[in-house]
Amino acid sequence: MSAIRMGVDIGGTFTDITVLEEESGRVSIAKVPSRRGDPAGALIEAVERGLAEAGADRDSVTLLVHGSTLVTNAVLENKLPPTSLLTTEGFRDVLEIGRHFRPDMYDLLQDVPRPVVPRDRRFCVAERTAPDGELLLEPRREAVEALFDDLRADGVEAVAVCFLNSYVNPANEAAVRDWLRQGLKGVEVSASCDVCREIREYERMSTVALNAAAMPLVAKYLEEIAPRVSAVLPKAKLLLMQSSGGSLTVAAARDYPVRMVTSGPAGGALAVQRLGRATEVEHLLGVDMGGTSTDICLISGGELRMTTEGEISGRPIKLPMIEINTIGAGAGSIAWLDAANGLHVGPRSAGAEPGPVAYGQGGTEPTVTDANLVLGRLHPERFAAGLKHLDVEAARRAIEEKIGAPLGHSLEQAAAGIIRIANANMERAVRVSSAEKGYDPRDITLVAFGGAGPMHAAALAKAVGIPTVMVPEQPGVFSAVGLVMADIRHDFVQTRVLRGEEITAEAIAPLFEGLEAQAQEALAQDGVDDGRREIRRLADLRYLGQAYEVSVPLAAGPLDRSAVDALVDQFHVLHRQLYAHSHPSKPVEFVSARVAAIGLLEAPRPQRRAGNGADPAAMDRRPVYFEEAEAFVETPVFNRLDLGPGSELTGPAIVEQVDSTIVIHPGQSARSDDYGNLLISMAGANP
Amino acid sequence: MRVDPITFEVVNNALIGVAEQMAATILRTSYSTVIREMLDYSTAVFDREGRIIAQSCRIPIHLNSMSRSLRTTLDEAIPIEDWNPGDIVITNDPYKGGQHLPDVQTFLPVFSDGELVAICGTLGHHLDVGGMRPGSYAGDAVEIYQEGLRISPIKIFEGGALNERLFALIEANIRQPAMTIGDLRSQVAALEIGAKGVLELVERYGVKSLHDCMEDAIEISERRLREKLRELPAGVYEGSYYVDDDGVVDEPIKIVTKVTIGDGTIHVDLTGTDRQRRAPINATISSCESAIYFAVLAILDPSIPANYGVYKPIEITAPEGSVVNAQPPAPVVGRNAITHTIVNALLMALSQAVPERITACYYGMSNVYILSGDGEGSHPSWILFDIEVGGGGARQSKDGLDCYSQGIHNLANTPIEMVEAIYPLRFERYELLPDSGGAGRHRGGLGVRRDIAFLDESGALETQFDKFKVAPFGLFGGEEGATGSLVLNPDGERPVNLASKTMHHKLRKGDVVSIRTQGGGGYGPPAERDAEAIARDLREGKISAEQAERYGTTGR
Repeated sequence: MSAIRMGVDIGGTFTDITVLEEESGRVSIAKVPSRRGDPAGALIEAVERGLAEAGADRDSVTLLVHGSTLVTNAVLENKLPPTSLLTTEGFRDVLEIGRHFRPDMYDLLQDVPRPVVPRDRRFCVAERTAPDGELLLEPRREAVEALFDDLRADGVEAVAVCFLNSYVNPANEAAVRDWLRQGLKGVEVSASCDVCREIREYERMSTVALNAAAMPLVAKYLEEIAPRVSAVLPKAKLLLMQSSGGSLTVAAARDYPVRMVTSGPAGGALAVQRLGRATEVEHLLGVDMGGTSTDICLISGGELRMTTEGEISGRPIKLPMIEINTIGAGAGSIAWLDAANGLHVGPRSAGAEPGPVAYGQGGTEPTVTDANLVLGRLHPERFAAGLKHLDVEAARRAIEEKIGAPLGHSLEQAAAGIIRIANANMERAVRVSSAEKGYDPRDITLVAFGGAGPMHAAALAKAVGIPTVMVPEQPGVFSAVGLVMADIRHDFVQTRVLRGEEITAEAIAPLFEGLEAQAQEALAQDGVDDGRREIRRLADLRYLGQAYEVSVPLAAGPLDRSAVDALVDQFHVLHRQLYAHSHPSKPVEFVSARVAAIGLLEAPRPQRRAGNGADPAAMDRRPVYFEEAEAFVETPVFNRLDLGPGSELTGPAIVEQVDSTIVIHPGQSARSDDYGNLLISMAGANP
Repeated sequence: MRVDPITFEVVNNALIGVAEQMAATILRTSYSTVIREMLDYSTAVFDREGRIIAQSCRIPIHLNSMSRSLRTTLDEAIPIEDWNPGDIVITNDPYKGGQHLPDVQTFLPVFSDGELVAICGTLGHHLDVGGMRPGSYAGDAVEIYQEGLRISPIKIFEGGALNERLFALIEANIRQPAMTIGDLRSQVAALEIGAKGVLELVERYGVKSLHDCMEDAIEISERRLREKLRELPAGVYEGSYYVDDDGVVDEPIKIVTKVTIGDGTIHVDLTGTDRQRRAPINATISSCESAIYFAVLAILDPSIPANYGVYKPIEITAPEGSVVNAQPPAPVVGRNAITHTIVNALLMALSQAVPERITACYYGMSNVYILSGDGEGSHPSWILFDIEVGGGGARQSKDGLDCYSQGIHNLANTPIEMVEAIYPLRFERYELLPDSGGAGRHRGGLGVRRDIAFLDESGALETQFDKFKVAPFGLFGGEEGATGSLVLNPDGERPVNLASKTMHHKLRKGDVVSIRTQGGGGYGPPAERDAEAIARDLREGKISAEQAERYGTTGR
């Protein structure tokens, strides 16, 4: 039997499992309910279900990739274990003061997030490094040892270390880290130079504090699941998904758990990337619309866009992560009127409990799902594979009462308005992720997934000027597919500020050599053979005096003068692409060297299938409201399972499937491709 | 309404998106730390009559600055019929609607098929616009002519062509031309991005719909504010408060506010406020209005979109020739001592009407400090402009925020490592100041201490601080917050206390400048403070044991 790879994603409601047969590329999927308090139990149950679903032998499973919101939830719910921080004398409060900029200009009653480490657990040691790396004052070991009792008081389980300017020369920080590790048995220790060797003390300190605090949590979790996984899957290597879209070995996940913080939507981005590589579409915009939020990502030339400016509940994380724009607009978003009868949708969501009014679980405020139901886009009996009966009358009443009557609008106008505003919210986010990054929407294909994505995608694409929408075969569980596609990945960075003439091969080459040595070391520890290693270089550059850098890719090979010239040229080009202007005559500043260490896991491509292009017969017809017609239009409804490669449809049409519903508007057309995707063309002509 | 509420919401969102896109361009491409790290800039979209519709404003004091400047430009300098495609107008004139010279504003008319459809604007605080002191913060200026280059509204681009002689004139009058010119370029790039965004909306919705949406936006904001005002008890509420001094004459400056709330109206009368000074403390009418607009919106309803419509129900009386409506040639660069004090006086006045919506007095000043090296050592000459904040005022239901931006400004600090990598400076301390928050049922926020060692051969320090003498007030029995201070060489043999408005104090290698900012005022009697909150403050070292005794507890 061929090798099998599994991906498991533990969400709030369901635990999803994906089973991939490497040779055939066949993907099967199963779901079990998540268990609050016993995630490992649900994980094991999901594995068993997945094996049964795929008819696979447990011994043929070589890899289990685990997407976990353990760290994310602990941060969001303020449930991180007690942690101490050790920093340079005089700078105890950097972590609490932050950047002291208020996100809401007017709100006099606003709060700020509590620092990850409260003031009574932040300690200082006399030491100092200059910005050129000179050690002005070395820490005394006795002074650090004198703090041991304080550092571990009150059941503290982890200590973070972050010294000023340690990004230039980590000697002081590393020495103290080692003393702590030797002296504080049973306490996790994390130093900023190991987690994120980058300029800007608050952002670096925030990152290492979160990392340290998450370490005991993740260590305990991994201790629990690792033996249980090897018991059911004796030959499988366990990997964890990280925010960068790469996966981590168990050992690396223990040391750098902060890398997992925003890994939630990473699976979806990877699935879009895989689709892009298979279909050879240059620019893809992934729109993953779920119940409470929508995640948007851009894949260009088969590559994900990365950022190092992420954050979670107001706390910065200075690590490479997939650039994903999340907005609070989903199927469960609530529609409401403000004091001046202005109609808004979200960010409040009815969530799964009580859910939309139509669920009949006590929800009273109309949601996007209620509007879709009233407009005939959703079938009341066939929603979510018939698991939920939807109450159309209740949805109508709620929209009429709460929105239609106060605005003097008909029911249809009110419901269509809710959809338009939900789409407008997404539209703004789509622009941020495309046009504002210098990509012309006419060159982009929008990939719609998540349960609600395919219902809104065609209208959204039209509004933004995107010509084609691609709906993958199983849009509702598409994200889980991405998990099994992840390569192993480690990221390394070192800041060294070089200006103009100082940017030479002699100055830069040693930086990359050092980072690449670390990269090779990390991959060796993960057991990745030479043949499957890929090292990627990036350099962060800016014009002298700017505060934000542009990450510029650097080719492999010797770092000689011509490579450096090419780097600077490429910076001007990227700056122009991103910000519409560049200044080739202005001096450039080199800020940081970055190296990504990739252990390639050879994701199999989706398989092509031949088809006869037969046009399917509609399973029934129903009236569906389309805004462009300003009326209900009798619309044919198709079953997705009846569509084969080459099948064509003409709008208006509805395509239903177990995990989603697709809306094709009047004047649009659609065709199934050889990979089972449905391509909707805005223009009408078949794509 | 002229358009259906749904189109309105969609277009309005898109207009705010345009302003935000412009702001993102400036943030990403500007050069000086003032803009790029401290975020001291704003962008806006105006309708074709110059009324502000959408803004990406990170700093409340910028709220009205662009509106007034554009209005004055149109009325007094360049009438609307003289604006042509490809023109960009520049101005920084405080007496033509601006606030102080470093705030350079640019405006671009957006035309569609030859028809003016909107105007885009940007405002950036520039590192230096000339004048007698580096950073253009001359604390000893007695007339605006000493504060820097004053650019009355003029076209810097005409029909798409740069007025190169004007550029050269500006360059010749400022200290760090590369940065200023770079920042100007980024402001121009943002205008072009803004115009593109507006034209996309025209293409999609047509000129008429766009204008109707703009009219509706103004009407809705006005209506919402009037409705909010009707909810308040009608009456007259008074609050007066002081600025320490003007930096030249050691006498406090009194700010008087009398707020009359009527049927959907609010009148803020500043009659009784002190006369303008021959010192750079004065506020022009634009600064004064911004402070009032901010306070009224923040106190009454922060969710009302801030556009031209919210200005209408607010009537302002500011006596000409007073510090809140200065007349030329009064110098104005330090106007924020006045504007912060206006906001705090209004918090005091309205505490009688809406005690649940206000805060006690916050630190009350944009604590500006400018360090510069004169180029005598191995470093070429340099300027660092920075601002520090202090403690927020306590609220009826919670403590004031420790060291957090409040009131009419909203600024991020500059990362220490970034400053040290660029300037010959070394930070020695950045810590909260225990006991600086006013005691109360809810405690005022803490101020902060920031010590910086000067490593260049020689240079100077300029500051615009306040509330060194007049402490931030508490409310309803809450105590005052701590005053601020500025000390040279605090740990040396002879520490020297410097004035809040220090002018060109010479610095030598090894000098340490120690800034201690103000705490916020408390709210409610200290005796009513929750024992657990006191214990937490003690544990975290935010109050000392002595301070705990003032709450009638030893904390043990």
